[in-house]
Amino acid sequence: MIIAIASGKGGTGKTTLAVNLAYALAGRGERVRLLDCDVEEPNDHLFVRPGFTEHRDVAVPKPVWSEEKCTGCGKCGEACNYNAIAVVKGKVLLFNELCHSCGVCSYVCPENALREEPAVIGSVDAAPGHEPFFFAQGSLNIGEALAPSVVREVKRYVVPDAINIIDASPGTACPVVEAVKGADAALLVTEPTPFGLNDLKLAVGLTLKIGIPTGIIVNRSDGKDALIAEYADEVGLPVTGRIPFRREYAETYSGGGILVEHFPEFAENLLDIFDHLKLNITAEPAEDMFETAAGEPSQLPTGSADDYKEVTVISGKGGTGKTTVTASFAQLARNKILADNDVDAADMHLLLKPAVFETHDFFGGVKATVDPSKCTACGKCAAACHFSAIRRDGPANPKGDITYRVEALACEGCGLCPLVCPVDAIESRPNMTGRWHVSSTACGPMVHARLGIAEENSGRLVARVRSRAAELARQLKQELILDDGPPGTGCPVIASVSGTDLVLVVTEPTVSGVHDMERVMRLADHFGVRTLVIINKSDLNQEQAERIRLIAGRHGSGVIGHIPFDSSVNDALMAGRTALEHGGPAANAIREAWSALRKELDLGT
Amino acid sequence: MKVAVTSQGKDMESQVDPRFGRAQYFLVVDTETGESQVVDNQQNLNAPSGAGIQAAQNIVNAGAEAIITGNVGPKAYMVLSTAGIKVYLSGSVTVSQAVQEFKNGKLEETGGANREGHWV
Repeated sequence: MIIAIASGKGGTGKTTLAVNLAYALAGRGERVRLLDCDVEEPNDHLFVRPGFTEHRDVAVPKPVWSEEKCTGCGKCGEACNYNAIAVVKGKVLLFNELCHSCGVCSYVCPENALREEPAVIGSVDAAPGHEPFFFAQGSLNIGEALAPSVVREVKRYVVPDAINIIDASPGTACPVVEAVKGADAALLVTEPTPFGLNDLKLAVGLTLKIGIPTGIIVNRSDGKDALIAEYADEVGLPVTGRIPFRREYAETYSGGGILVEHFPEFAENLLDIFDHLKLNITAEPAEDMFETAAGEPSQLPTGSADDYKEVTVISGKGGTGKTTVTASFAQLARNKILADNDVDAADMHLLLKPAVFETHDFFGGVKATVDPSKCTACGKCAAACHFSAIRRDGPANPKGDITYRVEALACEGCGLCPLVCPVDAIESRPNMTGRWHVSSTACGPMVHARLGIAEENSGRLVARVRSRAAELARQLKQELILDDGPPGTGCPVIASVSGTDLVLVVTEPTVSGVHDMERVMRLADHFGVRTLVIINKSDLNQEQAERIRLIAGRHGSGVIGHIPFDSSVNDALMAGRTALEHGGPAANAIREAWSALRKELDLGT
Repeated sequence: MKVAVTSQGKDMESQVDPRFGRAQYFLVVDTETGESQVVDNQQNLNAPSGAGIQAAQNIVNAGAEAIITGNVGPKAYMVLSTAGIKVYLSGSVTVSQAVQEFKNGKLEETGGANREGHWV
């Protein structure tokens, strides 16, 4: 059987569940395979510590140019929907990082001067001899776009007579679709907070859209999870299990420990969850809802600043307290514009309750659609499509009882099928992938957005959010833009970091927190942006906290805040409030960090 | 000679757009006559990827021999240099000031990308 572990967002305990479930099942003698399909940020190995003995490159077909055959006509460059080809002075320049391996260029070339050959975009490592279970992971090379191809290769290790546990990447983008596809059940890990619920809804939207039986696991559950239970009831999905909130668990995790080896009750709980898995429960997917503008802007603030500073708060891994810090700063700062750059799973709105007064549709690329009245079911499109996105299950027409149909979730919008179709039955149409908004909140104007499930181009949507925030800052003479950045180190993070004045990294003293913080600091260095660090739950693990300070020093950065582990933060989140509103040691530490940041930014008082 | 300038507006008094691929407009200016022609880059502003490459291709097609902009990434630079187009970097001034500085030899030619590429 195949179990996919996913979550709308990182930091909910997805890795913890995947790794510990694997150990717990193997511990009672089951044959288990753990496959880390979070190919942009594979983290399971930090806990499993495997000795890899198999390494395979993952290659996809990419075009190769023959200069002697080329006439420099430029048709390939015009046809490429990803702008991966330029033709200058009779030379064809191919940009492999942008290439989606769709085959359009070699199809349109009248001289056969472009042929497809395999190119490496990542790798798969496996440890078949690892005890007590088989482990494999995929890694996408930095700068490559085709994560789903690597996920597919990792999933080749799935065997029918084992329990295959698939750790999917967080979020709802296309690599998650690829990881979850074909699973017998998906377990969605969430927290009993309004944030957790928000992200859970996105994840449920995805699994139900693909039709996978779905169960919900509430992590850090303290018996106060009515919020999640009510939602589960409402959509007709089971709460499959609960993992309690214990400081000892967090401490063991922070040092890279396996929880089931230290806490027998943890293992029993996971085995109990597994044994009661129901593999037949799905529900109707809800419509992908986008907000619309509801009212007039309330009084917009005006300041007197001639120029503004922009601070982007990021974390690498999710769940480190980034939004808690950003939302608290939003309450402390005056004269600022807020921008939620986490367009895949925006959640600042949960704390700041915006009134939307401006809404724009966002289009990204195209999708193909077959006109069933013209289709002759010849099948040329399906044979040509490199993404297996065309299915023979369209409605009947007078020419025959079946037609072809484009599966929108799989279509990459390359534009090959309209060229191939002999009867002009296929059209590429602009694809509305999300919406962005301007709202008023109690903390000032906010620009935010939402990308649809499994949609690409989130980086460009982030850029759009930031440019509107910049316009507003100039127009309203505000002194600060506060960006809540996306998790990870991928394209939306780059869009969020490039050109900002300061990157504030919120991290936690855990092995994965440190690992991911180092990656985001390298990214910021890469773009020449200054960084500062806030350590959340700073007293959880002294050794890892010290490592954070060392790494910060090495990157010419500094630690400006230590927020202690404070259970009132969790209480605040459960109540949908910021840590600041709740008070306590963490709130005081956030206030101090804010004063330090103000000084660093040279903002007046 | 014809020099292209990335611009935030359609006239010579607009600010130079610091972005290359996602610049609002290009003004292609004839340095002898002072005449300028507007190239709308709106389509590229919304390109899902490779805006720099496509923008460079458009500059090549417009017949410019040099480009003045704020930043240029490695992919765009590769297209421009293959076409023999020289790249000059300018600060935040107006297009006409940038062209003047260019004519006075005040702008330095860049020998490579001044920004790391990114894939948005």
